[in-house]
Amino acid sequence: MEKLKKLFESMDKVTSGISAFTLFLMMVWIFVDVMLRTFFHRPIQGTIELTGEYLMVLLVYLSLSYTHKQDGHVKVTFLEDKFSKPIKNITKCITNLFAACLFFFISILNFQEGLEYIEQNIQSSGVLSYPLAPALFIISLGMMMITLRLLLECISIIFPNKVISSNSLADSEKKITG
Amino acid sequence: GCSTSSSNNSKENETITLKLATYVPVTSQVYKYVTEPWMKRVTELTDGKVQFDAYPGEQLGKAQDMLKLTRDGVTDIGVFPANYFPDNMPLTNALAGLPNLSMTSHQGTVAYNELLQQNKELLETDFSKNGLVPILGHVSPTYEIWTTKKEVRVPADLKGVKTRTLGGVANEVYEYMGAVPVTVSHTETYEALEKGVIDGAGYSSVGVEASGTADLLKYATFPHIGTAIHGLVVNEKVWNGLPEDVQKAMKEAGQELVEQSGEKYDQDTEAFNKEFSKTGTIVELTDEEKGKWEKVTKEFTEKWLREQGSKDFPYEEVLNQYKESLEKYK
Amino acid sequence: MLTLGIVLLLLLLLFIGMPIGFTLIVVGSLGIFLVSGFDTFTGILSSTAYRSVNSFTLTTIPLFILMANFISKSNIAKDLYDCILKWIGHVPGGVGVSTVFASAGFGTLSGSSIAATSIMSKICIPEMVRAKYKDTFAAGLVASSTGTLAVLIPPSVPLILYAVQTETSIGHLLMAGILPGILLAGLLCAFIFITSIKLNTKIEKSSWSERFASLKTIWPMLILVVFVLAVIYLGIATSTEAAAFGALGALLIGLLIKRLNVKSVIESLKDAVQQTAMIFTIVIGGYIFAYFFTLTGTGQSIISAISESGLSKWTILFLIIVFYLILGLFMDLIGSMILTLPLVFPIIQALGFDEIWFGVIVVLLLEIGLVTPPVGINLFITSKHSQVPVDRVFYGSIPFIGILLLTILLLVVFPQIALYLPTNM
Ligand code: NA
Ligand code: NA
Repeated sequence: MEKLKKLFESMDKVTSGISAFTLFLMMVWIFVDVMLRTFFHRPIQGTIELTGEYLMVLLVYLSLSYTHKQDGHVKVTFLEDKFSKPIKNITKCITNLFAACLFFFISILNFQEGLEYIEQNIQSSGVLSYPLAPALFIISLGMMMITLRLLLECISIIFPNKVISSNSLADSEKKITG
Repeated sequence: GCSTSSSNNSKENETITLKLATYVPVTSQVYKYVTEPWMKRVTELTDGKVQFDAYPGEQLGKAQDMLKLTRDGVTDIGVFPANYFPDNMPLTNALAGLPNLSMTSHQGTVAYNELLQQNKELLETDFSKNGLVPILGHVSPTYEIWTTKKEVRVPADLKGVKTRTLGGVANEVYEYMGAVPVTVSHTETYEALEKGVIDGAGYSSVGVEASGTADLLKYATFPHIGTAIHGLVVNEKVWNGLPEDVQKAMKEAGQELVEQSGEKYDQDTEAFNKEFSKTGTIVELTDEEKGKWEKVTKEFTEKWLREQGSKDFPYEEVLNQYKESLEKYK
Repeated sequence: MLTLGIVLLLLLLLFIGMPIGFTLIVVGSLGIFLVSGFDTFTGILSSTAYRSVNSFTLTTIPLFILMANFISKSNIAKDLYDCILKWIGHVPGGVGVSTVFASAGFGTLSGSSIAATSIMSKICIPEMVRAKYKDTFAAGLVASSTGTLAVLIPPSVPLILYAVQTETSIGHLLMAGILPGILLAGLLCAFIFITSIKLNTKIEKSSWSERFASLKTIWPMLILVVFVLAVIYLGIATSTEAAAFGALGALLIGLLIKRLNVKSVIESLKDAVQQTAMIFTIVIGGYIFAYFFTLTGTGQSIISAISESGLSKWTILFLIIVFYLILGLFMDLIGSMILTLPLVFPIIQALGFDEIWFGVIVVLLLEIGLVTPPVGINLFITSKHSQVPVDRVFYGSIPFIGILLLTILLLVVFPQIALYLPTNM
């Protein structure tokens, strides 16, 4: 169990690292594209399509699980704060299981959709022709990772002595919305 | 969808409620002149037996998902352009994107629907394979070149002009003529034209009107660079579950719209062009200039067809047959 | 009936602490399954995840968040506040007014209400307390106005999301927020000045040399603002693309003044992807829940009920405002907007209200929701940084909520405040 969790955490590190790198790449890419368009009338073909079709997908889905680890998904806490520890654990387990079931399902559906994209040879909407199926597989992977994290969290609640909780409760300012 | 079950075991007088989804808003011509009148007419022809729950404006899903949503039965009927689905509807997409084919919406629509009746390959490749039954195909007025500062008279004038295009084949046409195709989202077009991020856009006249960019555009040149071809299609399973009289009513309602919808669309186009001429210039091309556009679009089409050679679709045959039909309804 | 059950389940799961985005996804999917069956359920779930993030326009959100993170890590906001304090901190109300100015200034770089609130509450509240403001007043001011100024003054995450969802012009929406933002800042300053006269709240006067010296510390901030605006107004980039320039600019400046290093850059990136994932989870959930709502037909029947009710357009607008204020008690800004716009926006169009103007109104209304209990994220953040209990922060916010409502009233009576810039520039 402990080993499995370690493996998962290192995998999470890799995917969230890719996600962070993607953001960096996106920043540089758009800048370069605009510069080339403005000064050389030669934008990087397919920038707009590729950023939406791939970069956004990598950025969002590969950091879903990491975000949950950092307690970064915003929630309503005023009632939960008043719960006792055991009740909190129960509600957490229930909501985690609900979400895990659905995310697992979404993961499978997106994987199947990816296979269908391969079959139909669905390509980018822009001038460049590259397949879109891998984007669906990335979503599937991200959804699978958040599913696993939610389940692992449940397990560590149910068997508290066996697994040391790795959840670092992040500051509430990390929950950034509008 | 849930309504399929009711249609399967429906007796003679039971009402059948079908879901219709489209990405266009209710204010668009595709909704006003095609979708809505078709639903009305079907209900009328079946004495109220068939009713519709309409979901316009992306209420049931994004534009790029319309084909899938119809195929998977999320909606029973879908209205969407082939231009968004080059991989699923390659033949119609080619007819939509290639330059200098139809002149008006009426001509294109009549010709396309004739082709749809006659060419089995088109029906099979673009519709049956996707689990769809076409009721009618609607060809929009042509897309033209609209610019903010530069008057474009001949293809060479397009050199280096940053132009908003919708992607696909039209993108390749612009690139071939030396323009810089830039994809800009609908929400950003106004800003991009205003700030000079782009110098022009490939739009139909009503497209310019709907985008609200008419006050920024000063010149319009009409070399007919592609159209949008919308299909009004029914999910195949749903279709097979419908009683024969309903199927007949749907086809009939569709056929009635083939003539009308294009004409209305063309009227709107003319009205807008007239309005536009008050503040902007619709470039009057000399015969010589026209010839240059025809030459370059012809060259492009030939090159494009050569490039598709290796693919398994009968592009050339369908294109020639479409051209013949177009010739008839000039 | 089913709709009601699903909505109750939604509230239940939200209140027992399930993340908002997760709740929307789970409950919305369940609702779609119950209303339209398995095929529709799988059809929608297999496409929504991809389609809700597949948009170039949306790249502006992670990139502006990244820019704000770089700025925050390089302490540029703190320098700005200290500089303003040196110039006007010694006059009555000067510290409070400085807080408003610094918030507006930081708002030109941050498009996120909560990011702005968390940074400015750390910086401003201690200074205001030192200047003998009541802690409730200081916390209330920051909680209610810092974030609101950040989302009214461009860039603005909520306004961009509004534009994407309603297909209105991003450029126009961002411009529409500027004058209301300035108006709000003006009203806040006036209020602070009037209440401060008898309180005698101020700090010691700085010398002229100190003042001019402090100007030297804010050049990074000024350069960044000028750079981003120049990129947009010289027609080099659109407001979407400008976000990449802003982020890159903030990074380079941070490195140049040696306030950023590899470690803090990586931290900024990681924080930004985390905030992005959180926002998009809500966006995806919002879409799924909206599809459910559409499929039940509830939305359409509400719209037709409203259009057949014979109520005047102003009565309906009033009801919509009340609706958003109530919703804001329980929901966060982005979640509420994504959830309700598919329903409310067609009504606004049908009534003939201006679509751009309404975007500003909605954002202002939902900003009030961020400082009202039981669910008010800005309230919680401010409370944490100021050590003032949540209920007392809210108590301190009440006068400022009054000012926000006054701003909304002025916008309703004079829509030109929002529409002047977009129509004349
Ligand atoms: Na801002
Ligand atoms: Na609230």
